[in-house]
Amino acid sequence: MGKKLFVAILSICMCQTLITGCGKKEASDTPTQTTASGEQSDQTKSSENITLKFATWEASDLEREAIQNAIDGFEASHPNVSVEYTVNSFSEHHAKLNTQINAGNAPDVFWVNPEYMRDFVDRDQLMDLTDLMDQNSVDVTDYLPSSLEKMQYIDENGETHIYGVDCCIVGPVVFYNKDLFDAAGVDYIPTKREEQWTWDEFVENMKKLTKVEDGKTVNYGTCNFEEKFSLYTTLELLGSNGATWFNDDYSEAIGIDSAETRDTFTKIKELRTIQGVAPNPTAVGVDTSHSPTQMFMTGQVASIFVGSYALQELSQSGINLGAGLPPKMAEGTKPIGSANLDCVRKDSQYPKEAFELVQYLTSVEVCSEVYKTGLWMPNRMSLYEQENLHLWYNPEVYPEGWLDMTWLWTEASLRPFDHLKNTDEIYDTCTVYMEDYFYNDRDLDAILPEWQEEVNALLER
Amino acid sequence: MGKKQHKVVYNDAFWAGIFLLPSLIGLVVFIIYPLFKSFYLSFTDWDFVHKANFVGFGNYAKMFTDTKFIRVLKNTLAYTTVTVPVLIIVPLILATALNQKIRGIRFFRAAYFIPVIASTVSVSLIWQWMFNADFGMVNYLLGFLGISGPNWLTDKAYALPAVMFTGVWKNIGYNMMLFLAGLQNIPGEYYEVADLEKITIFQKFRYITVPLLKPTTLFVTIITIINSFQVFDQVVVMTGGGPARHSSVLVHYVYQNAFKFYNMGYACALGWILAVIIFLLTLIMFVINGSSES
Repeated sequence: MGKKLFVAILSICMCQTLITGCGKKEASDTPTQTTASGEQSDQTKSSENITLKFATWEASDLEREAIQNAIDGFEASHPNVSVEYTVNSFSEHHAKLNTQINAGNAPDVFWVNPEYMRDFVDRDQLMDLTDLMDQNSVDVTDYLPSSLEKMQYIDENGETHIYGVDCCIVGPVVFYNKDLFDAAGVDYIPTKREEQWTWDEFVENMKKLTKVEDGKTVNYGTCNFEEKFSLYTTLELLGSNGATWFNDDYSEAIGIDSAETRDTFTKIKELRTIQGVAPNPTAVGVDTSHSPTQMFMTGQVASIFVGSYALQELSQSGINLGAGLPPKMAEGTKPIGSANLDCVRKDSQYPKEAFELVQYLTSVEVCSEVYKTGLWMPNRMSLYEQENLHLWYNPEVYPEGWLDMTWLWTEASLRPFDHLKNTDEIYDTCTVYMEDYFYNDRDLDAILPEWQEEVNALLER
Repeated sequence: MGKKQHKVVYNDAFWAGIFLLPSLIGLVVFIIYPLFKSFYLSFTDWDFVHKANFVGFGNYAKMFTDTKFIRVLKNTLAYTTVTVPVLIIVPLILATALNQKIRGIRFFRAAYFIPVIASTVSVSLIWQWMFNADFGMVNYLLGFLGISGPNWLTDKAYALPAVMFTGVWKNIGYNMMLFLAGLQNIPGEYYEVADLEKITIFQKFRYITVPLLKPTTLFVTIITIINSFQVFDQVVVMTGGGPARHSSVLVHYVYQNAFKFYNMGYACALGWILAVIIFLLTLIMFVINGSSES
């Protein structure tokens, strides 16, 4: 009987653990009333040991390391605060965040990709940081135009709010393997605007870099123009070719079905199917940001059109690395840039500390260390002035001629998708139609009108 | 006369109930409650954030005009139609072959079972590289036969078959072990009599093994059908549902609607349709099995 009673009590304890483990995290016993300005009416003292949860996605192991170093610095300057840092895969980061927010166990601070920010704001999941920015006299005038545009959310009443703070900018660049270029006798890709290659010049040079042996291509000239449809580099090419997909307020898709879109997609596809200078994009393997760079690092492609964030990894790969401008399209190059916003969860228990973490992680002092690794580019105009270059420019990391190309970031526009809502569903639609064209060889004349109609239906929702 | 006193009887039934309590609570919390909740949500437009508004049969009606749903349903049915027979016939043959008392037989049994215990994601990653059009092992080996392999994962004709192959490769060992257990339960006397009657191997298989293996076959068929409808990991890792949804399946579509598009109400409705389809197929299997016995 005693033994049975003991086992019964043990069973009940297990049940309790089971239910507690899946229960929603309740607010602390001390009621915390927070306002947008972050004042707390509870008795939380600054000396209380608190733990902030911080979540990002990961572009590379080196990026994780750089962020961790920044967090270590924050903890050193805030002895009562410890930061629990988690890294998610990019493709699942926002879905996971949303689930966590609804479950009540979301991180206090997290990255949000600007293309999803409006959805998060609409769902009332982000803390409005406008007042905190004002109270802390954060000077926004020095931000790059695209950075400021990214941060500022204009509501239905025309009022400007800030829901996330920008730390950097990244944008597409062509990296190339100088040794392969030398071996093929091809000039290095220009970095000066006036020397920028046309599309045809680019293709001709890529043909020289492509090696075919026994009917099989063993080296490709380039890759990632036909990216696995995150529309990162593709959007820049579209804009540069004169394809304006959306109207001014991004309420309607007007240019998906256009001659410019047809021309851009045709050019991209022909790199693989006609000129044979680019591989099938699934050859790069897993759909993460690592993938195109991995192929480039194996020496199987001579150049890669990828976000500038890849520089951190490429600069340490041992490749004799060069960087140059993408080929100019019908309207030259209209660069686009974007990067993560550091946001605070709306109902964070520690809004003051969370905002301090955001400020720290997005400060010039901290970000400069990351800029020097090549992972991020500066998002302040003043940092591009001659006297401030030393704060971020590391000649051991940045390839020769990089400073000729800084207009790619200073003149960048915000990505069109950063203005949208229902972004995931729109992306899914775009992916399906692009795959239909690039892989199923469906006619663009049939695809584009359907595509535009479907995107408009999603924008109207 | 005093009040009737109820005496708690600490008999075996009481203690059985206590010991079952953790599992029962888990069943209620994680299965029964979500089941009913999802049924309710399937009649709403819940998007995780706003209040769930009742929309009646709107979500179910939407499926009839949702071309994406029709596409993924076709893909799922195709996946089931191909993989289920393969995952019955091949494991049965393997189990029959491995039901021998010969040296090294355990090694082969273990070898076939290893993919079962590997994680589906790992297996899918490996086969993604194996099916790589330019550098994968599959096309490399096909090259020796003079065949130029296709772009497996980006060709609409081959993407789903590649996913099917991976699913079959992963699960063949599990069904094989189930059949092996079934075979080992067949009394040896039947085969001894068959040997005396000088019956051929094929006749033994047809008239002894298959009939006596019927309960096992029914079980294997049902769980294979259920598992085939729940395929998800391979699709997400290998193809992402592409190209252009030619390899997307129902569970993948449910996931997208629930966690990417925040159409939770519609996702719940899709989930219930999946459950009904599986239930009907299982019922059909039982009916067929019952009528063949009679």
